[in-house]
Order: sequence, then C-alpha cells, then structure tokens
Amino acid sequence: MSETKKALIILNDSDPVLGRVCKNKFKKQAGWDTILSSTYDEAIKIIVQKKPGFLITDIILKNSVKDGLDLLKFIRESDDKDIAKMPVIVFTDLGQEPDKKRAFDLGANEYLVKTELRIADVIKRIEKFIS
Amino acid sequence: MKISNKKQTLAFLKKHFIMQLATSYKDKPAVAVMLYAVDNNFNIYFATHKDSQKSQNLLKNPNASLSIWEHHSALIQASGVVSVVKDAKEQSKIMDRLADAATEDESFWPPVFRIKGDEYIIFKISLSWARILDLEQDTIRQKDTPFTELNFK
Repeated sequence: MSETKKALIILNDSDPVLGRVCKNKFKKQAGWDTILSSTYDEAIKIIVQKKPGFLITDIILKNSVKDGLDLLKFIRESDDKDIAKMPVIVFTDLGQEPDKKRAFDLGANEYLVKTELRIADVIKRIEKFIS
Repeated sequence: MKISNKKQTLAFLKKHFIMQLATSYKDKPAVAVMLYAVDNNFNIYFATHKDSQKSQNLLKNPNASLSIWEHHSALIQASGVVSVVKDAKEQSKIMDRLADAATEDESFWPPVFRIKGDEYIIFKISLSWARILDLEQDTIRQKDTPFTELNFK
C-alpha cells in the first residue's frame, strides 16, 4: 500500500454516489484520504485551504459555470508554488482526442476515461504521483 | 444463518447489500437488482435514476416487494410502501450508507454507474411484512414449515 496522502476528488454533481464510492474504495484499496467536492468554487476553496497532495477532477461540473479544465488552468497559473505544482488527474467520460489534448496542453498529468478503467486501474495509474 | 426473529432478520439484511426489487404500475411489472442500505427500523434505502422504469412505477404506485437471498442460508421476501427521501441532510446520510454498502466487496461496482440517466432519486421502503425461508437444512423435504413470518405494523 502506498504512503497515505490526501487526494481531492471533484466529480460531476449529478453523481454524488459515485464520488462517495470512489472515496471509500480509494481508502480501502489504497489507503488514501479523499475530500469530496462537486463544483469549481468548492474545489478552489479546498485547494487553497487544505493543499491536498493531488487533484482528480471531472471535466463537466454540472452545477458550475466553469469546468474541470478551468480548475486545472487556475492551478497551473497559481502564484502559490505548492498549488501550481500539484499533480492533476482528469477523470472523465470524455474520451475524444481533442478533449485529451486540451487537458494535456493545460498541464494535466494524467487523463483517465471512466468507461475504459476499473477502480483498481485508476489506483494504479494514480499511484505514480504519490511520493 | 437460522433466522426466526426480527433481530436475526435485521442482521441478515445488514450483512447483504443487493436486493431484487419488484415494482409495478397498471399492467407493467418491473424487477431490478439494486444496491441497498438498511437502518435499525427496517427501512430500506436505495438510489436510482429519476427516469428509470422502477422510479416511474414507484412514483405512481408506491407498493414494492423485494427479495434477498443467500445460498445455503436464507431467503427473505418482504413488502412495503415506498416514499421519496427529500431532505438534503437525510439524502446525504443515505448516500454515505449506500457508498459504504458498495464498498463491502472490493470488486463490486454498482450497476447504476454504468447507466446514463437523469439525476438520482432516493427511495425509502418502510417494510410492513416479511417472510423468511430457512435454506440451511439440506433434507429433501422439511417436517415443520420452513417459513417464518414477520409483521412490522
């Protein structure tokens, strides 16, 4: 099991159960503590206050004007070096190349498509960002 | 697991997290396999998409039946009346319970996540009746009735 480190998960607001299940699975299978949020503003608040080890964000945030890629942009442009360097994993239903390219161009560290992976695969792909 | 009273029934319900849920409206019955959570008052909770068949059925006809089965142990059949959980705090608690139930088995992933649908609706089934079939005995026939009946009203 990896060293316990805080992760911040942001998931589409219409799927609050998915967020909770991922949180439990991450804790049980990888030992990670996860803070859940579901909007751009909520996520910014948590990032600034708690400075989690890394961020996993969906792109579509239903109850936000801004999306997960705006969040990624905010992080990379932050004056706070700890925040600017935070690993960001995009975790989405959008599997098209232009979506992936946009995310990597903005500085995403990893791009995970929900329809292509099991939770164990997600944990494996994220583990490399845990120091 | 021999079940003959409410305490044992509750323990069985808490041990499991998957039920077969039957709903109906007019001449259209529907059965679905659902993730559930139960509280100490025999209220059973589940979440589904608002536009699902079972949800549409239950909004028009709140009567539901369910069964929960374990090989070589017991079968519980139960009926009750369903209501929609509207309070945000209660919804949040129930979603936590459902997430806990979904994490019981490491490889389990709730089928609802695979389905594209409308937003969630959370239902509570207040049980009125249950019948437990003892499946522990392996004789061909059983001398006494294998059923235990429970009423919750």
